Amino acid sequence: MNLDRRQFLVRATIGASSAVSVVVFGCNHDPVVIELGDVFGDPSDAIAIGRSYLLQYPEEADRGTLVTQTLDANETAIASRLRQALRRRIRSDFAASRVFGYNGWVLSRTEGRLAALAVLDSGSG
Amino acid sequence: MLLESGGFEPDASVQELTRGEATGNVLANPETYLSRSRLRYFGGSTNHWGGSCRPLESLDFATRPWVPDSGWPFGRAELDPYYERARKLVEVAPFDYDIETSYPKGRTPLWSQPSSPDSDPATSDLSVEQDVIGSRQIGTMVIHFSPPTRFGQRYRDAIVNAKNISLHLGANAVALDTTADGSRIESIRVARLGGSSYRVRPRVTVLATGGIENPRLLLASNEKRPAGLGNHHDRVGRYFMDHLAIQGGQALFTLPFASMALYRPGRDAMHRTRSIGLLTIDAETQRERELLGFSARLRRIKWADLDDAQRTLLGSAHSIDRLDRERPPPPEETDARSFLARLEVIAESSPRPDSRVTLTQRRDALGLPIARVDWQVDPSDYQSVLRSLQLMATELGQRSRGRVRPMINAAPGALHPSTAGWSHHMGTTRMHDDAKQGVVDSDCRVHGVPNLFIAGSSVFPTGGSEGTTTLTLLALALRLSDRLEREFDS
Repeated sequence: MNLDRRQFLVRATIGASSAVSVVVFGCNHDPVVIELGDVFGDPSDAIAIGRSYLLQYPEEADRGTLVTQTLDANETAIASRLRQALRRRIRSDFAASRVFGYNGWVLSRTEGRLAALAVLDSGSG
Repeated sequence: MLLESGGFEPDASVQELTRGEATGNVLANPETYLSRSRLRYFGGSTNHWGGSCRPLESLDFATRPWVPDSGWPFGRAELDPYYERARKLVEVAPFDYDIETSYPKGRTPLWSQPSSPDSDPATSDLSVEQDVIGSRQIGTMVIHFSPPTRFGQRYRDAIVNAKNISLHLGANAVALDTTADGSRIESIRVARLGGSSYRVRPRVTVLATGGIENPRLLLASNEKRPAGLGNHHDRVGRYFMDHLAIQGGQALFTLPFASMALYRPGRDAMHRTRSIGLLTIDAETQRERELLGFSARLRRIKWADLDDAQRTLLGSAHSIDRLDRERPPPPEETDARSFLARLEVIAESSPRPDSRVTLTQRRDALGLPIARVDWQVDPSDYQSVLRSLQLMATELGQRSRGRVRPMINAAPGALHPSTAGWSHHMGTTRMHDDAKQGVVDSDCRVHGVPNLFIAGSSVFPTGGSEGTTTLTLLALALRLSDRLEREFDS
């Protein structure tokens, strides 16, 4: 099977297996799981953004910090609503000007953190 | 009597009379600023105008505490009947600027469209997140396009054949001569290229030569008063403004390009005119945030012209803005359902007394001192543009409709490389009922010279943003015409 450029980047950065990055939110005894492939249609789109985020916020450069900064336990209680919770957080980021710059683009801190998780999990950070 | 400097056709030697000097902290091409923007033949600058038409907003007429020297002596309502007459002169369909209700499906404003057209209504969109999203701050303004009407062609026969109009071509007013005390125009010295000259003795004079030439002639008419005519308080030539035209940045829309028809030039059956929507800041937000007038036209960047970084950002934002769907969109959907656009900003520049038209020591072929424009833009004007773009960024993001990349360098003293003037010369004989603060009163009569009036954008105290200049100066001219008819024909 020939891979186009996008598919190659996904495999190369995420890993040879078909699994994509998995993020666990919520309490240890009641985790809510999301695959970053469920957030980014193509997780390779997130890599450059995530690297930029980590350069600007090196103090957040570990999975635990990024996860707890993204959503707290109350926001993730219902797995089926996790995507909506993330969207709500991102929208409120913009409303509250919790933003950062990526090559001049104004992005939400939460989308930066999600992208940063993709970087850490890919080992390309 | 109509004195026209040129003939019915352009002439290089007459056009040479538009040359002048331009300086300031904005202009990228000062050497051509005056000559490229003005046409000196019958019909004037309508011979090359772009046709954009829009009335000034109510806020544009108001005294805004954050804009020194702002405020017109009347409100928008005073000009409404004249705007209606003016739009007929420029062949624009009846006004209808209520974009929320007026446009047919397919040409709807940005916020009327769902952020994710195929999402689950039960879980999506704004109704469940009103506590997160703030009140709307970014709106849409609509420009209607004149064909554009070339006045020299459209109205030539009417003027030539009018029994009450005496048209003089090749006739340049070079001095307005007054009584000994300077209180009335007695005669106008008229000169032709080639050396001949004569005088006319009008009962009433209307100066309508544009935002550079109006103050130039007043300043040069200084035989009785060394400071120039109507210049008792050193206001003539000051407060020069043009619109700032800036490549403001880029915007990424996570919406199909097809759904943004309102933001492309188009004709719709309802209004029978070409129009376009521009993004703007709503009036309430301008007040709260102390912003100047702002508009941004979208110019799509084709997918094939995007670099890899732009495409990946499109893909990322496209996915993020669709988190209300059960599954992320496939990567190939991005091409059809998101796009990148340049933001071409036209912004208001604030009135400043040190931004001005003066006379140089050099003279043109008619012996008239050559004009110099020194356009000084306040750094806060750039700050206002940057803050407007930042507002656009936060609002697009919180409504899951895209992202913005402001590209303004608003550091003090910085000159944004893409800045140009839009050739809307305003403010140089500004309107104010207090003679110490203006050159003309609210009837456009020159203070202290009761038989001298001024028509044109030189009387504007402030300038609004895109599309307002021509329609407004026409409305003011029609209003002045009515005044003169009442006062002098009775």
